Amino acid sequence: MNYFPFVAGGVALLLAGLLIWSLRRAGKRKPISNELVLGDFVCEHIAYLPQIRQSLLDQDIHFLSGKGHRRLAQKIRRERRKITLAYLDALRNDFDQLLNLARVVAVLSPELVPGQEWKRLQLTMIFAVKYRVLRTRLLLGASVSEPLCGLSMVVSKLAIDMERAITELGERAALGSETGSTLD
Amino acid sequence: MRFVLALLSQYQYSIWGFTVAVQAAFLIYLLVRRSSKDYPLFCFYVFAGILQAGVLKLTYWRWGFDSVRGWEIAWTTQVFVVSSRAAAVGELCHKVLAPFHGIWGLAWRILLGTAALVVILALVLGGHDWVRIATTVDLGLECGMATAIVILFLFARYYHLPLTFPQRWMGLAFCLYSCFRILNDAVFQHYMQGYASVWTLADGVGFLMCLALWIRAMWKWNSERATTLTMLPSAIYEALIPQVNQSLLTLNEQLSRLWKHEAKRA
Repeated sequence: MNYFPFVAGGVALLLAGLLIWSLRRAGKRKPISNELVLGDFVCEHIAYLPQIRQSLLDQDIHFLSGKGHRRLAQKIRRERRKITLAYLDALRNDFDQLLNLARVVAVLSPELVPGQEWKRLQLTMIFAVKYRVLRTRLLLGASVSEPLCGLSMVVSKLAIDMERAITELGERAALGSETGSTLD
Repeated sequence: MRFVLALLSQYQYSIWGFTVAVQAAFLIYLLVRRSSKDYPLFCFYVFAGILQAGVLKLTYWRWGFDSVRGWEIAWTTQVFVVSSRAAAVGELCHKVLAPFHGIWGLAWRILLGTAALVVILALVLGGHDWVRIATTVDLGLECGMATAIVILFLFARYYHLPLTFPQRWMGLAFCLYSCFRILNDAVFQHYMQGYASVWTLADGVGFLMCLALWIRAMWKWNSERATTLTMLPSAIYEALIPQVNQSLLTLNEQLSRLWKHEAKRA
């Protein structure tokens, strides 16, 4: 029996599905701007890291449980989990903003390095999967403490690095134009 | 059976005639509105369809619908029409991506390479005899075009590229028509002669529906000004992107650590 028609049929359906998925919200995309506004991607959530870190400490939960306030300890644990989830979402937002900047830079660049683009796509996909899994685990009741702080620091470092690189490039461009006008 | 075939034939002829009339009216509309300036290859494709209909009408009148000569001429003209559609698909890809030099430089190789690979795969995996080779080539080309359009839209989605209304609907119609033809060709290859009349009828109906989508696309067409974007100096890309990728890698490692930490605690 020739299976080719079935394979071809499957391919056609898969392509049609991918087409519809890729066209979702296509009409709502904003036109690409030439201006890169630094203020748009300042990571604001990182400022709450000390409070989050404090809320993630287990000592007071143990203290309450030890004193016999089990219900209260459970309630506090639940609320802290909610806060942790909200913080994780906020970090994801910061990450997305930075990724968006990288995207705009790529779109407005005269030449792209295929290796770098492929690497970024791969890393973004891995991040998306890991983030989903982690979020689900948190929803199921797991608790996080120090590693979340590490994650926040990475996002914050990424923002600082990007800001510094753009500022340096801006200064270099300004210096270049000044030199050019002096030579004229 | 003979009655059914005769009936189908009548349906085919009426759909065929209606399609050609709509195509001709659409072509006139495109020329009057000067859309041909923005999409010359698409207009040529519409014209090629009308031309093919004329040639086939003469062929069937001279040699009959079931003749070998009719079959040969039909598939020869089909290669011409499918090629012009492939050119129109290429034109659409260029329209969407060309304003972004870096992306276009990266995408055209991927688009062309993937489309060619898909055509070759379809031809090799098809493994059909010489009777079916025409439909296999047709199927391969359709697979290549559908893949190219899907990759184009995936690129646009990943880089958040703006798509105009006509571009979206034209691409949608091109891809859906190709997918429909892949299915139709696949069924045709399985049943061959017994499905020939239904295949022609189904193709006619499918094309008519896609023609409606193209008309909808071009109805809202306004002369597209070439997007002029001031490109950033290459130094920005070279400085920022490796840094972003490195940070993403670290971030993923942090997530993995978080994961392992959780497992240990549990």
